[in-house]
Amino acid sequence: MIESVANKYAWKKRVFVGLAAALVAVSLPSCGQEGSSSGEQSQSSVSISDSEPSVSGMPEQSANAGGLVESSETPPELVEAPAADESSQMADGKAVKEYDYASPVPAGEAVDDSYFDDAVFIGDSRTQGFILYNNLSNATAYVDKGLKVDTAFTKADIEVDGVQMSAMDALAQNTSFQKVYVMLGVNELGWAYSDIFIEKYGELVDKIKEIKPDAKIYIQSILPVSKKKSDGDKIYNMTKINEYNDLIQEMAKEKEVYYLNVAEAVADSEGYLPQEASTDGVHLNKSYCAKWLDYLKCHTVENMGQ
Amino acid sequence: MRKLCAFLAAALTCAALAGCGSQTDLTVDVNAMAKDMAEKVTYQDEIALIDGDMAGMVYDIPEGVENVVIYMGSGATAEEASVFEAKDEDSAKKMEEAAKEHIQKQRDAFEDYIPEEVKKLDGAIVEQKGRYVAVCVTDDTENAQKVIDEYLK
Repeated sequence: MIESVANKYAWKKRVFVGLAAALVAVSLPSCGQEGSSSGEQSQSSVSISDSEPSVSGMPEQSANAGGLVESSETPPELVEAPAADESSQMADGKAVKEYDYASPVPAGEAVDDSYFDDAVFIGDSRTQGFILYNNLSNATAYVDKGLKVDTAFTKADIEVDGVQMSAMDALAQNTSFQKVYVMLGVNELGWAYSDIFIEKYGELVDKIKEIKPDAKIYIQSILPVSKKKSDGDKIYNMTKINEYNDLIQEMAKEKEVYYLNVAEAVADSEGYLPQEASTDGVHLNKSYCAKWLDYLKCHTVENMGQ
Repeated sequence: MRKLCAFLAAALTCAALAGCGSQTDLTVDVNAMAKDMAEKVTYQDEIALIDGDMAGMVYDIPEGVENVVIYMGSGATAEEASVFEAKDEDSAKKMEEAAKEHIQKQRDAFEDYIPEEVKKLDGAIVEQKGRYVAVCVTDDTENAQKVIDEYLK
């Protein structure tokens, strides 16, 4: 009798043990996944995996596991850079491409004018014309004729709410910008020492980073001048401009900011500003300012390579 | 004789009064006027129309100015052709002052930048008539004045 009662409960015991084992088996894999997602998160913030990010599956698994696992952070904003010449291997063997600051921002899908809603433009008379002719009233412009890498700090030629201040002081008061476009250098072509020019340009970039560490900083190449201007001027010529642009590109690489080769938007096949683009060979007319804007719209960090 | 004198006096009075009344009656197509100033006057630079929204970048526009048409140079020169329409003559007079301040600021900027432009700015035309103000910076002031007179006289 006793044996039959024991047998009766024995099967129930076996079923219970089986169910418990099943529950344990289901819960164990989601904990393991948490470990692997942490590994992905440890990668550089400028890198993404070549494959579809596995982290996108995490919320479902975390839900199945009763919400015990936190969703991993979304993939970084930058997409792969076509000019990448460095790669590193993730723990799972997938190659990761890093942004190559030595190369100009590559072309991608065009943005519209609203992209510049939170942009600040710092520049000289050429940028002044660019803003006026392109009707970029949504952007902020700290521009002035003759602005240079040093006077951007010292000359009170920018008016903000009725107060005159330097371009960098104006930037420091601006809390809403997310991106900065800089084009300086044409007014410094006559400086005796180009290394002083690039040193001061570097200080300007450092200051922008100090004011807004997470801002995207686009450094634009110096636009070309016309052949007539170049051939006839000891200062405003393509030899000097090319020398300065090489320095600017190197500085952008060192500072890890984005270099825009805007010169290619307007230059002819020999690298000069076409005669039709300007009356003095230096300042762009409305039509060529539009080409410049189109170039910026097609060369953004968010859309590069797309 | 007495009747003749009375008639002449009345005629002279009417002529004088007609001259006084014309300013407030003046109506100008500012777009057409600015376009003619841009096209019928000679400039060294290519001056191009800028959007009204950008006027604040160039001028401190006072209250009461309702319409702004500005053709600006590329930065190679200080040349421009601009016409402003205000709601009344008082506002137009304020715009005239703002225009003069703009010319002075341009002079200060170009004096160190492109000194050759100072002469043009010193000879700039700034004219207010009724609700309108015209501004023209060019070496070709003779033609500029002719166009402005066609519209504002």
